[in-house]
Amino acid sequence: MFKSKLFDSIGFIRALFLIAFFILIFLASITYRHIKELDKISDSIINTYEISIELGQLISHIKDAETGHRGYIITNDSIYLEPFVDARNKINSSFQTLHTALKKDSKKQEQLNRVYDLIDKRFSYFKNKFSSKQEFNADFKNGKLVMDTLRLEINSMLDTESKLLNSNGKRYRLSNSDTPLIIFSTFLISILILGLGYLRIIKNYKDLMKQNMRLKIFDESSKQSEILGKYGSWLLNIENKTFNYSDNEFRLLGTEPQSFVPTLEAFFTFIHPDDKEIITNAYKQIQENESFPLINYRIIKKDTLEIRHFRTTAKIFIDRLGNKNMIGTTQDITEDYNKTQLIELRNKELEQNNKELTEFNHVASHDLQEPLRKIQTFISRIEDKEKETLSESAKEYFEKIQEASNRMRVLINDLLQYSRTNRTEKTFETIDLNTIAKNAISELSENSSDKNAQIHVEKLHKIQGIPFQLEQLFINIISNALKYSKTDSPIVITIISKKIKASKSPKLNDISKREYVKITFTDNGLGFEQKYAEKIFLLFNRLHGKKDFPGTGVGLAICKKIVENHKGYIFAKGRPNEGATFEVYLPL
Amino acid sequence: MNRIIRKTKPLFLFSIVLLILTTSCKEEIKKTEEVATHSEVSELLLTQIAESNLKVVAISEKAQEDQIEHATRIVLKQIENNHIQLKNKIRKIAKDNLIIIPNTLYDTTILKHFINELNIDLYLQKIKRSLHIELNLYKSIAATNQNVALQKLASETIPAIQNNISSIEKIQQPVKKSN
Repeated sequence: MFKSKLFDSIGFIRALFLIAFFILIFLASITYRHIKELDKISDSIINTYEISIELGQLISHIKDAETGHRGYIITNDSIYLEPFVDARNKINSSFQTLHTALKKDSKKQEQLNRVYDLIDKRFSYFKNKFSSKQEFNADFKNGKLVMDTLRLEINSMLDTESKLLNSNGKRYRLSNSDTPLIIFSTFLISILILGLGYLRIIKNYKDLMKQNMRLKIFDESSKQSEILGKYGSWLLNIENKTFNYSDNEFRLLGTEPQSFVPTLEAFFTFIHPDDKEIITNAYKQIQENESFPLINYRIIKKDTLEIRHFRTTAKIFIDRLGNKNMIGTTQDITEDYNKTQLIELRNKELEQNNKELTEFNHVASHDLQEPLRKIQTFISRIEDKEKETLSESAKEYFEKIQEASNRMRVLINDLLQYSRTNRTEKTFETIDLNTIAKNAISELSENSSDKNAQIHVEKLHKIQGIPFQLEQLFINIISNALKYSKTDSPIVITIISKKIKASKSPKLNDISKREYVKITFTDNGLGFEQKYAEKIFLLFNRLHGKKDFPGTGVGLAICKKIVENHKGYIFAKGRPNEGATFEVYLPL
Repeated sequence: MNRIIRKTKPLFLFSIVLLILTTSCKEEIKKTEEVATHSEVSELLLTQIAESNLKVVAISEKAQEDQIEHATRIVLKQIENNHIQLKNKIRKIAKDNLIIIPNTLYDTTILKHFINELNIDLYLQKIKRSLHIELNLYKSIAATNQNVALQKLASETIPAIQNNISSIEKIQQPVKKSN
C-alpha cells in the first residue's frame, strides 16, 4: 500500500542529481584543461617569439657595439662610447630575458652559453688601444670570425624556434578550433541537464500538488463517508501502543473530535460495564496473536448517556518504515441491531403463527374428516336401510347431502395435502423425472383410460428434489389436462424436458448462469384464456363452475407451492379450445 | 530548513577550503618570485665592480712605468696581481649569470692626469681612493646582496683590499716623513 515507484523515490532523484553534478564537474575539468592547454601553447608561442626577437636583437646590439667601438677607435671621441655602453647594457638585458625564457630547456641553455662566450669573446676584441698594427688587424679579423660563428649559432637557434613556432602554431590552431565547440558543448549539456532537472522538478511538484489535492479530497470524502455510514477509523501503533482516532470515531463516542488523547484506558471509560471483558479479550489477542477478532459490544455515549451497539474489526499492516500498525474500523450498528431484533421478533411471531396455522390446518382437516365420515356413513346406512320408506324428495335430498359431503371430503383432502406441502421437511435427493412421470401416469391410469388419453413422455432429466412432491406435481398437472379435455377428440398429453440457462429465459428474470430443467406439459384440451394464466394458480380459484367440471381449485395452487419449495417457477399458457401448456422450471 | 543547512554545510566548507588553497598558491608564487629577484646578480653592480677593478689595475700598471722605490713597486705589483685575480673571479660570476662586463677601461681621464703629473704620491693617493671606493662597494654587497657568489666574492675581497690599503698607508708614511 505504501510502495513507491523507483523513479519517484528520493534516492533516485538524489542519484540523478549527483550524476549530473559529476558530469558537469567532468565537463568543466575538460574545458579547464583544454583552455589551460591552449594557454600553455599560447605562452610557448609568445616565448618563442620573445626568444626570436631577443636573438635578433642580440645581433643588432653587437653591431651597435661594433659601430660605437669603430667610431671611438677612429676618432678617440668618447661620444662614440655611448652606443657601445648602451649596446652592452642591452645585450645584458637580452641575455637575462633569454636566460629566463630558456630556463627550462637545458639544450637551449647550452646554446645560450655558447652565444655568451662568443659575445664575450667579441667584446674582448673591443680594445681602447692597440700595441701594433698587427694586433689591430688580428683583433678585427678575429672579431669578424667570432661574429660569423655567432651569427651561425644564433641562426641555428632561430631555426629551432621557427620550427617550434610552426608546430605550436598548428597545435594552437587545432586546439583553438576545438575550444568553441567544447565550451559550447559544455554549455549545452549544462543547459540540458538544468532544463531536464527543472522539468523533472516541475513535473514532480505538479504531481505532488495533484496527489495532495487528491489526498485532501479523499480525506474529506473519507470523513464525510464516515459520518454518513456512521463509522470511525483508528490506527494503533503496536510497538508504542499509541492510538490515532479519526474525527468521527470521537463523535461516535459522543465527544468532540480530538477532545482527548486516545488511549486504551480512555476507551474503556466508554464501554458498557457488561461488555468490558469482550474488549479486554480482543486487545489480549492483539498482544498474543497480532490479530483482532470481529467484535460486537456496547458503549455509553458521553454526551447523551445513550447505549449504542458497536462493531469493530481490524487488521495488521507494516508501514514503509517497518513499523507494525493495526488499522481498524468501528461502526455504530445500533439501528441495524434494533431492526434485527425486531425482525427476529417478527420472525418468531410469524413462525409461531405459521406453526399454529399449519397445525390448525392439519388438525382441522383431520378433525373435520371424522364427523364428515360419520355423516357419510350414516347417510349410506339410511339409504340402505330406509330406502323404501323414503320419499322421492327425501332420496334426492340425501343424494345432494352425499354429493356435498363428498365434495367436502375432497376439499378437506386437498387442504390437507396443501398444508402437508408446506409442513413437510424439505429433504432433497437426486430424482429421475422419468420415474416420477411413470408413477404419476400409473396413479392416473384409470382416469386416463376412461378418457382414451395418450400420454407421451420424452426422455426426462434428473434433478434434485422431494420425490413425493414432484410426483404430486405431475399428478395434478396431468389430471388437470385429463379433466379439461375435449369430449369429441382424444386427449394427447406430451411431457418433455430440456436444460436451459437462466439468462436465456427472460421470463425467469434471472441473468445469472444458473441452469434449470424446463419441463413442458402440453395438451390439446379445452385450454383457457391467457388473461387467467396467473389466476389459475391462486388458492380456491376456478375458471369453471363445479357443475361443469368438478374440483376444489386447490390442485394448481399445490403445484405452485411445490415448485416454490424447489426454488423454481411455473407458468401457464393457453388458448381456448386449442389446449394448454404448463412450463415448470426446476433448478439443477 | 535545518536539514538543508546541515546538508549544504560540507559543500560550503569544501568550497571555502578550495578558495583558500587557490589563493595561497598564488601568494606562494608571488613570494617565490620576490625571493628570486633579490638573489639575482645585477649587471650594473657587476659592471661597477669590473670597472673599479680595471681602474685599480690601470693605475697600478701606470704607476709602475716610472722609476719608483722597490718596496713601492712590490706593493703596486701585489695590488695589480690581486686585482687581476679578482678580475677572473668577477668574470666567472659574469659568465655564470650571462652578463657581459667590460674588460677594457674606456674612461681614461684619470690616466691622462697621471701622465702629466708623474708623481708617485698622487698615484698612491689615487689608488688608495679607488681602493676605498672598491672597499665600500664590496661592503655594501656583503651587507645587502643575497647572491651567494657575490657574498663569497665580497667576503674574500674585503680583507684583500683592506690589506692593500694598509700596505699603501705604510708606504705613504715614510714618503710623508721624508717630505
